[in-house]
Amino acid sequence: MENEVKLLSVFAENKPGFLAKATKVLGDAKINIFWFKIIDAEGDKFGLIRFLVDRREEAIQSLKVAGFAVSTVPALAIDAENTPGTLAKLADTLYKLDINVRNGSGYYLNGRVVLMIETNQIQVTAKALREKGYKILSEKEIAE
Amino acid sequence: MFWEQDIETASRESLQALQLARLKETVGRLAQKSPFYQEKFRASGLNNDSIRSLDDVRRLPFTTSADLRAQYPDGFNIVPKEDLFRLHTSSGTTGKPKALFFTRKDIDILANNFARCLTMVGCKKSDVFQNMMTYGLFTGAMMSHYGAEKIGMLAIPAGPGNSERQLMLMQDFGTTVAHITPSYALYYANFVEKKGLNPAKDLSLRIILVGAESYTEETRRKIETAFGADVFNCYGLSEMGGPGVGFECPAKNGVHLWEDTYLVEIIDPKTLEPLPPGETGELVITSINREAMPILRYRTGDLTYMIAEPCPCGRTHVRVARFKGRSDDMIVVKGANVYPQQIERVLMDTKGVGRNYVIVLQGLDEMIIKVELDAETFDGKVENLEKIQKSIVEHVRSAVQVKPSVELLAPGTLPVSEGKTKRVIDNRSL
Repeated sequence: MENEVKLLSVFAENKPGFLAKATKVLGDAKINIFWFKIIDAEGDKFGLIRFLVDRREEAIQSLKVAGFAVSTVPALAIDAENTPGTLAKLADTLYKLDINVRNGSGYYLNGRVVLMIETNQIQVTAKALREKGYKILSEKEIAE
Repeated sequence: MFWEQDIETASRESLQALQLARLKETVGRLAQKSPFYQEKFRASGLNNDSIRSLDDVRRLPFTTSADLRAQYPDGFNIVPKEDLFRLHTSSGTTGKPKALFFTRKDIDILANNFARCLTMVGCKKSDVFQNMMTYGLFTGAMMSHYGAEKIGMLAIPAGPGNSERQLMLMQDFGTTVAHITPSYALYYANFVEKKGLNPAKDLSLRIILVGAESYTEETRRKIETAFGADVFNCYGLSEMGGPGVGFECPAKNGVHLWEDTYLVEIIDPKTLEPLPPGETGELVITSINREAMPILRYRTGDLTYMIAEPCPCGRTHVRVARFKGRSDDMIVVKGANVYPQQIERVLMDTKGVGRNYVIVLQGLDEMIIKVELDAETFDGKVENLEKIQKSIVEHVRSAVQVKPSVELLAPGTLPVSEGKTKRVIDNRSL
């Protein structure tokens, strides 16, 4: 395995209160959320909420019981350098491999940069990035 | 299995002889006792002697839903008040309901007909019958309840809703037969699954009678798969005594109507002329074995056709095909005639969407289909959701010639009503 992480993907109607409802379910189940992102679909009629959580199976179960449509999607959490041009370099690497980034986000905090990307070929992407010297974080490493 | 094999498999000749005798008797009684029909007979020059053959039924006046409403409360009753035994009303959506009276014998005939239906689909004395239809003024639950009692099944008058309690009853008392509306069946399957149970394995249901709302073959398959049970279509209308007016046999191809109780015609709704088997038109029913309020040529508004081929189940009573829709269900959007069932068929054929939907009409003839996502097959990918949306748009457009917009909803967000589910919400400002 190339240290891919599994994100929860929760179907969300685009209306007020949906995020609150979903996160309350997770909170009540004492699930810790490391990362989340809202994805708007075409026409803004619905979207998806991605979560990276500590106890995935329990999170899925609680969401399902509460009536949410939930599934998982693979992603890569990349530990990147905090220098100008990092993202450009990464994007260029993927472009040259003809890999399309479906969803991406990232943050900088206290000297650490983490990029989260979803591509159509996760394993190929992970291998290529590792060869280029990127550090790909496992769920365990993120939780630490 | 037969409840009354002789009459259920009677020859066409003997059925027709019985029908003619009963039609004559009915018309004679109405001519004597019904001011409403006396007036109608006078207007069309009919008398006691006008019915000589079954074809003469065509000379009789039609009766409509509007007539029944106009004669509210008791214009259709022809027996003395003290002989009345039961009042039901139709599930009228606007204004006054239709008042429907029954004598003791009327109820007994309907219960007996329902016992035929139950036996036809394999119900036995040893079955446990959970009746999830609405008890009360609505005919649906009570008439079927009496049918179950005739057979001697253990009847549980659960009524609709309260899924938690339905499940408890099913588990604790080993329910083998359920009577339910299609929308509630789909909702309930989902509910049981959410409890972490498999409705096909963890419940003992083997027969499900589904009626009170029209539904498609695809919906039948979904319910059958979910519960691992045989689903039989049950057609009824309060005006003709409620559920079991038409009922599917094990052939699951059209519903039989009991011809010793009903005289069945299919007419062209425009010309009002009778149509031969195979041609789709409006189902028209005359009650020929009813004391309190016989109704002549009742226009049901349901569109179907007669199936000419003899039924493999051996019953000789007429079969009509799955309803194409109700003539009054039809909506007109952007000039196109649209039956909600056409849209339901598309939705049921679309992988990834669930069981509950609503069609909203708004603005200037805009059609929005709101459908719940199927939690089981959801894969979390936005591109697949968009694919589902596009597929519904395209298929609906080719089915009804109107391009809808499609909203996907989270599972379980649409309300499930306990009686008839409203599938069309018309907010148009036309």
